[in-house]
Amino acid sequence: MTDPTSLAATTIAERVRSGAITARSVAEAHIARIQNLDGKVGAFTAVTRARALAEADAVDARRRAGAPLGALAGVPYAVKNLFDVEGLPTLAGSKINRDHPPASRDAFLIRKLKAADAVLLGALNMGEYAYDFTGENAHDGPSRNPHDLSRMTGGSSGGSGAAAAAGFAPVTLGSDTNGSIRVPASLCGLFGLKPTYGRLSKAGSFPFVGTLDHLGPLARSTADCAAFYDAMRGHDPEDPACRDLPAEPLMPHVNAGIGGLRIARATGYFDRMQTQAATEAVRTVAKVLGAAETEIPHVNEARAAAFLITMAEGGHLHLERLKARAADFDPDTRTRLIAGALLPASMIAMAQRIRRKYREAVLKLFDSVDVILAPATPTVAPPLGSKTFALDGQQVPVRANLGLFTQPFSFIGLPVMAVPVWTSASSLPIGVQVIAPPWREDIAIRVASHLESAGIASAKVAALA
Amino acid sequence: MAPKELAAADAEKIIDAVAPVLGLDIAPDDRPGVVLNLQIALRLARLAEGMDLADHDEAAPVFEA
Repeated sequence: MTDPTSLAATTIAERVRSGAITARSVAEAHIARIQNLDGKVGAFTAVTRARALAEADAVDARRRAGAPLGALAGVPYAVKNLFDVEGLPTLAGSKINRDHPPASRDAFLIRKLKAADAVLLGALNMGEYAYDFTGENAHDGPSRNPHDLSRMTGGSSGGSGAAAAAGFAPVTLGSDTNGSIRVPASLCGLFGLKPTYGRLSKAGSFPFVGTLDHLGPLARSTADCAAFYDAMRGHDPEDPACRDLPAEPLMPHVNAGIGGLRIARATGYFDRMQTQAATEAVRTVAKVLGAAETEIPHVNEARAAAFLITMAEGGHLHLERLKARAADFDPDTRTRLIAGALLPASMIAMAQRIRRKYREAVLKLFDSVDVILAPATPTVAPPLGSKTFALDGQQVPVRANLGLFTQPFSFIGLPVMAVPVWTSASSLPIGVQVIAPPWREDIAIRVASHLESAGIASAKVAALA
Repeated sequence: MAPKELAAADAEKIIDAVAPVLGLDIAPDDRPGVVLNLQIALRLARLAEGMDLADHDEAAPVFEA
């Protein structure tokens, strides 16, 4: 019998519904793999074993009784530890939040997944307060890349990348303010969906930069990202940014092909500051898709503005904690947040005006293209602990520059699928961003699915044992 | 024109002027990191100034993608 930890979410749900396997056996197999191997990986900060088995047993009991089952029947998943999980303190990667009382109810997205009969395995490691691109954490230790345990997962959803690539769960949830879903998806060889800003509710998740925060899935297939997105859709008035717009399901768009789509690879800014693996990945994808080229205007200014808004809003959010408990922050996070709190207001006002002007310029590009392609990260996973890497002959800081290519798109809330590519330049994977117009996640899914069918994009469970 | 660098000494002045206003005590060990991050931020702000905003280029009061 196939090891359940190698199965896709959609396959697990089909087999649980048909009775070919039980939800309990799937949950137990995943929990056993976590118990055996997570000591090496560092993906989880809490395993909700009793809850997982109770949720799985409830699914199996309903099946035995002939009751209808949800779309994600018996599918295990885990969440970045900034999601509220009833009964656990919401750590957000910090030491300080360990003193918070346990969450009294689940985050909105977890409630949606529970309603779809998915099974929660636990909470995942992350960079402190999500201000991170490395997946390292001073309090919990780093999440390690399952494809090479000496390397970074990328962050800040580092445990989310590690868990899905390690076969601890077919799907995990992460958050993405400047790239924190797409960077670990790239470095861990996963599909990662950052939906349009305002699409999925953020209620019940610990914020970082409210005007830039997004939540979404990381998975080993396009269909699994789509299935989770479909289950999590829905307006939620508790998130002020969540738009009350119809959200069509994405599953019908998996395998719909790319007929009629105008696709272009971003040039200029997106041709520079990258390793051979990044260049090869995006060019391979562009060739298969028959992509034209397009140059996005004002990217340098946009990325700079996103950086400033992030520093300032983050610094403001944590100001009282910086006053009262500075020593309890990760030193790398602390100095950036303090600097953010000190920034002149006129710079932030400028950055917000740039955001709108840049948005208008990029939306104009979508008059002539439907999809933009760009690298997800400048490099494959760097070694753990590295502070700088070489790009275009310069030594640049890792923390600031892993998000060089993701920041310009989350800044204006565009939906993006990161797809994993394995190149001849490295034994490690690297991601390519498939960027669509606002509210058109379906287009990104069609392209990602096409690349997967063509054998260009693929994810695999790392051999850890 | 290349973005102008913020000198470390000027970053120190920002810290000394603004931190007390916010009620922030910055530990001596943290100052070099704060200086470095202010220098990065100010370099990026200079870069962002290249956008050439007109008076009517307003921020989005309610941001929508």
